[in-house]
Amino acid sequence: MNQMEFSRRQMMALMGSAAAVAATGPAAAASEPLKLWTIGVAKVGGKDWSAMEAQSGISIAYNAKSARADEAIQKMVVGDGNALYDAMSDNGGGMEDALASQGVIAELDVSQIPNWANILPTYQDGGAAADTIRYEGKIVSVPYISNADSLAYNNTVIGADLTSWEALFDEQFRGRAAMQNDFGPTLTNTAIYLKESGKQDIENPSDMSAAEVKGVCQFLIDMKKKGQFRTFWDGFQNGVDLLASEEVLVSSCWEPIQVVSAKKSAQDIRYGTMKEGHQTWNNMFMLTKGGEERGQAENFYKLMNLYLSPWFGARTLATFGFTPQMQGVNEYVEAHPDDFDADAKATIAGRLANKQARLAIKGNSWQNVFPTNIRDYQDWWARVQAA
Amino acid sequence: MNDYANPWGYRLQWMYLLLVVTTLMSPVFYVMYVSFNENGFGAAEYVFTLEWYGVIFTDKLMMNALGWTLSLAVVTTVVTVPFAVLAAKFYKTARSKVWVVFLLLSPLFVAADIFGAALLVYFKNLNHTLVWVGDWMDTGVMDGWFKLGFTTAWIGLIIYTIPYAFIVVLITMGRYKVQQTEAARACGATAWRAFWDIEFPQIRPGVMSACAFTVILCFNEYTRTSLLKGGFDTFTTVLVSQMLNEGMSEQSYAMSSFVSFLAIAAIGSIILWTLVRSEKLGAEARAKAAPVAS
Amino acid sequence: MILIDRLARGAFLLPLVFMLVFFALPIALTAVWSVFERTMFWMEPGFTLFAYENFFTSARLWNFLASMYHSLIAVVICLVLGFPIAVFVHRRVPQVAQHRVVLLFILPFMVSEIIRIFALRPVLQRNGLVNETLQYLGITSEPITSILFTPTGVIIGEVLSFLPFIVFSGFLAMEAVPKYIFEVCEDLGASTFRIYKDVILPLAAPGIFAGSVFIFVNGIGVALLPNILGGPGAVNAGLIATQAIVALDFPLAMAVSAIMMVTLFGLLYLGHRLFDLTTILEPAR
Repeated sequence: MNQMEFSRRQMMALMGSAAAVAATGPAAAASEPLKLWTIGVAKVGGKDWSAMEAQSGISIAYNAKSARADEAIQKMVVGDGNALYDAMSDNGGGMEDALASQGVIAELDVSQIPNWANILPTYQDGGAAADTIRYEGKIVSVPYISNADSLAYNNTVIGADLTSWEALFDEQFRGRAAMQNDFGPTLTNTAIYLKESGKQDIENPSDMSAAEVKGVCQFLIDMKKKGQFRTFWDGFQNGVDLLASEEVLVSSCWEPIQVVSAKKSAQDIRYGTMKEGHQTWNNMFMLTKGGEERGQAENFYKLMNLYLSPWFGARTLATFGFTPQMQGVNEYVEAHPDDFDADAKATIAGRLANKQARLAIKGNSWQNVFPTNIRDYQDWWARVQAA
Repeated sequence: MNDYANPWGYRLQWMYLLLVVTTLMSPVFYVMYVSFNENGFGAAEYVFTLEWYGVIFTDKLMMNALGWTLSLAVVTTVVTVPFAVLAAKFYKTARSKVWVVFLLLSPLFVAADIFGAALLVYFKNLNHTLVWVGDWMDTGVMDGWFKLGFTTAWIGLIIYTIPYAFIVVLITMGRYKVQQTEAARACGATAWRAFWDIEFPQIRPGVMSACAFTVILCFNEYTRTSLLKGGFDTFTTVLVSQMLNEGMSEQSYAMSSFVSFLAIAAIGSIILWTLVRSEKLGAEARAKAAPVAS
Repeated sequence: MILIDRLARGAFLLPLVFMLVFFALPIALTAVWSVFERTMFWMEPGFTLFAYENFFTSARLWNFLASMYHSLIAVVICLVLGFPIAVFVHRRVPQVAQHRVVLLFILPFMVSEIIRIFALRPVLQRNGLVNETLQYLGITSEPITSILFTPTGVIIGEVLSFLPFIVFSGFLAMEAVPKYIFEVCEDLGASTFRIYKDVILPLAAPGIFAGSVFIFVNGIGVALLPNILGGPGAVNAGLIATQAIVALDFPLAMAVSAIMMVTLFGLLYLGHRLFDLTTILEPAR
């Protein structure tokens, strides 16, 4: 039996539950908490979800999720994700296509989200990032954070600002450099560097051919053999720890890692603007088919309204350094001096400015979780690890 | 000690033993140290606070995970320890001991990730098979039996802990004199009464140790549980998820230290209690043997 | 009465049946699944050696072998550090107090392994405890960077994680050595080395071997160790299997599992032929 086919059992179960939900009506469903499967950085306003619940007016049952793409696919398509979760988050530009094509997420009605009007223009029809939340032209997800990943460096120890990926591979940081232990971001960032510096001919750093992957990996193997990398970090805690303890001085990592490690170590760890380009990505929320059947759409839209409000946008920027997905953040910050003191305002403004600088670079490339030649990526990455 | 024993050798070896134990315990102590720091792990500044211990009980995620972990630990112990006792008794009378030992102890030798991977695929296939059989028999009652969830995590943990429980129980049984069971049977007792009234009280310390050991193992197990559980979170999976995605929250360290305090208290009190008891018994014995003072 | 009798007898077989169905069978089936064909999200019944080919031709084989080598080193170090403790406890500590000492070695398990391994980072890192102490004492002037993010770091992690097991199994093994043997040997004027070599090791061999295999297998299987303490891209067999599952390449994960099983059972069989491992559980008295 092909596991991709719905079995008769599951079909009857679905129809049965749909009938049951229709019979009880949406009122009953609205009082149930929304079963949310997402990463920890999706919440702001405190150490737990209570602030988010208060602001959105719904109750949330949170389930921890790792940032790995494959886990989502496995759970939703092969496992019982639809029964377990009403809403989930993952990377835009790849995951929503994969999940929508398998029929496990629902099409969205954005007229139910008042704050959709404020969303960044790039997500509207015809915008540059419009594809990242749509499948076959229909909106299937709502973005809540995005960024252009760059290099974090320890300014206190180095004493200068770094503006090129060259630094990551430079002799002066031999044994003090780190990259992410994941072939997606690491190979893409390296490819961006190699392409823009002219060292290798690469057409699309986000979706490389087998030969291009080989070239990039051989460069990395070479660097690794010379002892350039202290380690490949895996996980937020690791990333922060490496920078905060001065174990590494330059690290290709996410912005929240830079934010947290700077705070922890009381050193000036900065996030640079690389002249070759950055890996851009976003993360978005989807409503599962199971969640739709259980009548959780209303709760979902309420939560999405919160995620597209400047309340969330300002806070995710201040706490983690992620890019807000709506307009009007600066005005919101001005209008709420009690929540944001002068320092916070300066930080927010500074980060926004840096993001504009990064996004303006021509060489930026989108994070692709399902490259065409994914097996080549995996095989060559295994070789990099073994070297 | 005998004529050849060197008192200094004895002391040195004790010191070495304690040194090793301290080194092994140092991560535990370090985590406790961190749990009192306001700024968390790896921070440059250390500010003492009891704040995080208070947060433990209000952190819904943590409490939820702890609840799941505790229930898993309890149900696992309820199955594993009786299984271990049954298997130990069977082993004593079995003819081909090798196979029994092999079957019961082999989980020890299978690495965690491999174990989890194999069982994961097995349960998925078993589930598909049962659904297919259910379709054929027109019933849906078996559909959810082996879906990844509590049951599968439970089964995985039972298999993981049985070898340990088996060894502990078997060793305790080794000190039990089988002639007592024979005598009890000769006096007319049924097999069950011979076990429950005669044998069990004597192997009770071993059984209790096996229970404690099993609970501890379940609590700290990560790899197999994470692969086999379904949608819920356990204590260790929350820790790892936090470590990977947002950094371990400060209350996680407090929670781990709290669990460690409890466990150290438990083991420490067992050690102390047996120490005091043997001292007391020794004193009684000496008193009996001492000549009456006139 | 006969039925109850039969049921009661059956109860004794229950644990074994359980283990057969939920452990032996899945492990045996890994060999079958490893030759299935890989699909996008799962696998299809078939027969292909692609997973094995992939494993042996990609660099994964070298990682597998390297991790076996490092694990072996960890085993040797554990034996050298831990077995003398077991001998000491068995010999010198009064019988009633022995289990107390063994309990001491259970204490490290109170903290979950993730935290224990992660807590080694601030100890071994560039400005960590070890380096600070060495520099303070003037023994070194530069921080030692080779104890973390290197195979050495992984070995240190393995030793610290698994040392208690050697003490336990050594302790079990020593049950096979009666106490009077030491006096007899010393009466005859044997040196400590000879006592170990000619008397203790042969008698305790089954237990030592079992403990060593246990550490060896866990060393190559626990994915957390190279992940947290290893250098750039460090992996071991367990991590290779986990990564394969994450990449939804189930046949590959099953192939790695099957290879590990074969290695393991080969070792156990060898040990049984050499030492008769069932004697671990029936010590001489």
